[in-house]
Amino acid sequence: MKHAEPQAAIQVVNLTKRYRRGPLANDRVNLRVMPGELFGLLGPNGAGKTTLVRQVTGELMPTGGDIRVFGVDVVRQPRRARELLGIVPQEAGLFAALTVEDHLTYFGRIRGLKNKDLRGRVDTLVRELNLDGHRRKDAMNLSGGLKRKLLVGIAMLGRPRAIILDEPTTGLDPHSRREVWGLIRRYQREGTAVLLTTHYMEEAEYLSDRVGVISEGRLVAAGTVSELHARISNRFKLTYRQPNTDYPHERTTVYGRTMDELNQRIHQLGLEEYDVAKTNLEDIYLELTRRPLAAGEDR
Amino acid sequence: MTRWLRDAHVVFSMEARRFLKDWQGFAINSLIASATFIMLHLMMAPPPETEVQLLAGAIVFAVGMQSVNVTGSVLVSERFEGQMTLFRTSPMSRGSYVAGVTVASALTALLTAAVVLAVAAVAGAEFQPSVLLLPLLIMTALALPGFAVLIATHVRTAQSGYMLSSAVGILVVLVSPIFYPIDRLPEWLQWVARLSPFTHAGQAFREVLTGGSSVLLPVVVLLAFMVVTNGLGIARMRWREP
Repeated sequence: MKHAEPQAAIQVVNLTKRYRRGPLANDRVNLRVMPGELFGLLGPNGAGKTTLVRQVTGELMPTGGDIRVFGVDVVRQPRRARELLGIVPQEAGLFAALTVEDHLTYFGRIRGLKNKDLRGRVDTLVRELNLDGHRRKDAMNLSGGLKRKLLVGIAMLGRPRAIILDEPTTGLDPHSRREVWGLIRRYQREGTAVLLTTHYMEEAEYLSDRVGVISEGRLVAAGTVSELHARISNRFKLTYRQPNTDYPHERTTVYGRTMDELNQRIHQLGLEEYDVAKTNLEDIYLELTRRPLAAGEDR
Repeated sequence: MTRWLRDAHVVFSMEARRFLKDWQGFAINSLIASATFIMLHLMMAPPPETEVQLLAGAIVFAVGMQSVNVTGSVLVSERFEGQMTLFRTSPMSRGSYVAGVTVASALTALLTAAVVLAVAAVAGAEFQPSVLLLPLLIMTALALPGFAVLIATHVRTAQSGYMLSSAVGILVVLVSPIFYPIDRLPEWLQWVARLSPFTHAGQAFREVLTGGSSVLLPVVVLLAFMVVTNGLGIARMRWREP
């Protein structure tokens, strides 16, 4: 008996975006995020991550392809799709003269929350995001990191079935970053699908079930970190300080397919101090998004 | 419909809170509009019928310009500073958003008109207070903001948005004979003036401030402007980027 395929939380098929008189920002991108899954999207600046996310949130009109959120067509029914989504945009502004509590209350009302439910939800999010001490502060008096946390809170207000976070922890200190991670994890465990873009490899590696790498508008790889690891040739890396250099803190990294290859290199160079490690997500990312070196540029 | 109104009310409340905290802007607008009337009143020492004309002109000038300028500048700043993104990524319609912003902006214009009327009364201007003033003020305030919506959501930069939305208000006031009778204009300009809602608003205010109530034609024209410009503004505004 054939089982029906489970419905994807977010499904993007052949998504193409060409800006008017501009470049091809997304080129036939396909991706699927299942309920309870966290999909991390990585890519260099200008690779097309935010363009992709803004099309999924319905802010930007695609040139071609299909985007569905729990089966709802984002292009035809953007409002219905946004009812299912919590969104942390990369560049959103807060109302300078409104407090943290005001923001959560007003946007909670737009999400249909009322009275006791609304107050309870605001209290919970203020506590979970550790914003208690800032609850009655005007947004104009919040640091950049606190503003980001408030945006995360606004996105979580309606207990969305899927969350889209476009660089949610940019500008956050390590403690705040972990608070936001904790919140994302909790929602994910409760079955919420998460699509996250980030420049922090540690964040992507820690949070993501699967990672996608986007380069020049195309999704060049997608899979678990170990699946991506299997796709690259270099499994190990050797990091050492160049002997007799004017820059003693500068470290050089050499990649190798096997440990033997790196051991040979260590002997050749006569190194006494060095680190050898397995390649990580950052190395995978660098290999997958490698660009041609400019003349005189060292890798 | 209930949801539409709820969302519009949320936006209105947020904008109203912003205006309350940023009351200096409102105070300056009220001061300029009141000063316009007082200066003309003192310089010209006009007969009562001319004074009513000046008062009607000052009210239309204040309400018409302010509603367009404030709607335009709020939308431009929210678009380029990112607050509009928060609404756009929420499950709400563009109609609710525009209605909330427009009504909040119109409210500040109405308050300015109330200040102008109060200043005129204190200065000894003779006019007849009437309940008809309120609907006329509302219609004047809502006659043109739809153009500001179009401009604010289509311009490429914030600077051009602020400039163009102010220019629309100024231009329409300039072609409207609100401080003097329309027959003082050359005939061809009278035709142009008749295309402006502020010309009709000025006539209606003059009629009501002198104790009359024959304002059917101006009311119909103002209502038509309200429906057409705001409908056009909401229908053609850029909510989703192309």
